[in-house]
Amino acid sequence: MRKRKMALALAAVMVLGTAAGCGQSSSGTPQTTGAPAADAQTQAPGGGEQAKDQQAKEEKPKETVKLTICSADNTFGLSTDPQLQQAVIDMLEEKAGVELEAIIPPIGSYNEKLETMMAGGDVPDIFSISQAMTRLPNYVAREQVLCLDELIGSSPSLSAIDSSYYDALAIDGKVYDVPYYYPRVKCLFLRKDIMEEYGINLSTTPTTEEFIAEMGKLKGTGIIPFSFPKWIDNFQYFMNSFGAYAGIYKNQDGVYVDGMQEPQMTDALNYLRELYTSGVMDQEFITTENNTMREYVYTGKAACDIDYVMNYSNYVLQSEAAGAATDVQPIYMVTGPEGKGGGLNESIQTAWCISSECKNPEAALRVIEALVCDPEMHAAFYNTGVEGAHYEIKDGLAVPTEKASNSGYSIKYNYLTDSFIGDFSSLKYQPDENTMESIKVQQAMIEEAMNLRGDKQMIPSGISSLYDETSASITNTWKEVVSQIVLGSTSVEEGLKAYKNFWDSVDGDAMLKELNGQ
Amino acid sequence: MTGKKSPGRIRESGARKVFRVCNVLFLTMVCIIVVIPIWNVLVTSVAADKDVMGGVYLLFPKSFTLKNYIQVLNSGYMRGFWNSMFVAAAGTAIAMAVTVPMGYALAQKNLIGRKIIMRLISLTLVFDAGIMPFYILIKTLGLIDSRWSLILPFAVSTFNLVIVKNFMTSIPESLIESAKLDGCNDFMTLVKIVMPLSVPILSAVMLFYFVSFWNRYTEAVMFINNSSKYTLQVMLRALVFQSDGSLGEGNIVYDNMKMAVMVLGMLPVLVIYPFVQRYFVSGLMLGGVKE
Repeated sequence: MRKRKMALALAAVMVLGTAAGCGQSSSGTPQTTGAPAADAQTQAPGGGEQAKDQQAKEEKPKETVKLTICSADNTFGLSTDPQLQQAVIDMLEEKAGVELEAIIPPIGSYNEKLETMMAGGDVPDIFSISQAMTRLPNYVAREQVLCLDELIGSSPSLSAIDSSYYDALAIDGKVYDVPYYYPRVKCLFLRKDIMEEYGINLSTTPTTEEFIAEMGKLKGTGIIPFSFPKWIDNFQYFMNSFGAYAGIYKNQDGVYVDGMQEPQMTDALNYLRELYTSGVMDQEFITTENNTMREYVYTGKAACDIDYVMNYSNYVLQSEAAGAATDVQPIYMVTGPEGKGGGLNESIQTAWCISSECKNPEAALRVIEALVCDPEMHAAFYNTGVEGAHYEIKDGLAVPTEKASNSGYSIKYNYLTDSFIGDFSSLKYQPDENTMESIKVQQAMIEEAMNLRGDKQMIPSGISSLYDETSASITNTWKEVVSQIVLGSTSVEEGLKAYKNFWDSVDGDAMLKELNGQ
Repeated sequence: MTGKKSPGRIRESGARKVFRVCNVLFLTMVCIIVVIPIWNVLVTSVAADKDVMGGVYLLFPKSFTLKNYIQVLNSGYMRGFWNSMFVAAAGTAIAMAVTVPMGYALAQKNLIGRKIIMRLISLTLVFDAGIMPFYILIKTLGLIDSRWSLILPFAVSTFNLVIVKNFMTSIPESLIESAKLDGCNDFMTLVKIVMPLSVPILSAVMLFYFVSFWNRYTEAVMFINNSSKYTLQVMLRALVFQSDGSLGEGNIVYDNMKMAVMVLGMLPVLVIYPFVQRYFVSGLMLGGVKE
């Protein structure tokens, strides 16, 4: 009898779950007028709202363009709630005059999802790419993205963007993307309260020696002098001080060379090793996530870290939230013995592309135009969301709605310093005075950091087949060698020797000849 | 030292006592090692933001707030929950409906081509085609952006099939023969004789299936486009990793939120487990019994 009851109970749970799951598909997106076709097909007939939706769809002109758009869930209004995301999609549809099917993968799996879709032949009509310098050349080589020269030329607002930002990712002189924010630059952030307490005297451009000497004052205090993330690419910040560049790059003579085998790299690696052995750099950096590194500085557990200049206001706000309020001082670059140096230039990291198979590129460009150039749309898409859904306006300030607030959303004003749009005064809300103050400071810092940014180069695909095949291995190998040297598991000489062996094994010299057209 | 022997008690040697003490100490240590992380998850999940910043490992609560749980529950958790429940319930039901008859058929010694079929099935344990061919297959079947893409491809797990088949092989043939003498066809024999005798292993396999469908993440991200169809695992992971982007431009998510997500993510399976545990344990033990 008990067995029967158990079996019945389990069966009931399954049936309920199945029924609930089926029900979900019919009620999941009741408010959408521009909902994906798949959803529309699963909606059950009947129901007032659904009938209205159907009517609204029928009223739309039949020639409405339907496009797919793919971007990670740190866009679409900074909320993972599908209903709130839909409000942003609706606004974008209205602005661009198209019907959109949005694909919004989690940011942690975005690249994997996009790559899988593209390799599977499902290239979204409009999509954003991260690490554009690495990915875009591959997509161009595979002929999956559309050349945008003509389309951009026909758009007054997109043409108004400084051409250097297009040139940064141009391939063979052709433009395949629209950047939507300024190049990202990283600097060091140093807590001012710790500077005062321990007498650390550093300018915004100290020398390499000063940096070690002054930060060394924190040894034995229980404070990590310099917190660093596990991402080895960030070492380029200090390599800039010695004129060294990790990876293949075009030197001053216009010749491609391998930066790891240039003499100045030895000096840079010796300095990095010294940073570690002197106890200035976090001894556990190799396992430190970006988040953890930031939290160390917010809480005062660490004095300094490396981060994007545009995150300045986060340090002010979050250190206050952590009960350790302070201002932070940027160190734009650490000057090397020969006066060289520069902030970590990550160039255009994220950009919009249009699929080469898009049936209506003009409509796709209208969507990008709205995202990049329309103040209301840009702010809604990247930061604030939509009035009424994400926030309400009270006394000129945007206040999160209860629903948005409960979903983890908080209002961000990064668009004020990141975007190419100079004027957001048309928005109905403005930041409060304190936020505005820190944003002004941030703006000045970004301008300064842009002037002091280091070098960043992109090697186009299709010139050297050897490079195309081994570029990922080269990057992985130099990162591995540099981390081993810094951690002390090998010496600088031995590490560089191991790298040279790898270089020979992939026929690196022949690759350089191919790149140099010899 | 010359103590009286208490009646009914077996006298333990000194070595035995030392062994028992060591055993208790060792098992206590193992328990602590297992319990501490779970305790840490619970304590962190109810702590305030400022108490968890900077990689703090909390063993004792510094503060108490349920705001993270409220936030998770209001962030579309229930939508993801019902999506997951649909996938797990329908998936388990379909998988059981396919696995049990298949296991029974393969347990029949007179099945023609039994060895070849088993070898072909076993091949899938060794080789995995990878995500790309899988994606193209799902696309060709027209299942992209359908919840069924998370169910149908996983309707049979080779591992579970082998467990069921091995268990059914151990059921005495005489029972099956007598059922057939009484007029049962193969289907009736399976339903009336074999399945009631296989309740332990079926419960265990059902739990295996449920957990595997419940935890499915990669396929949900790859095959589902509409975020309102995301399963709970995708939604929870998205919440957790929002602030892990190197740009730091997403919402800032601290460890307390992540732990609350973990608790709520494992809760449904924790609720189901005790009901099936009895069968689960005996099922595993009975799996190796032969006539």
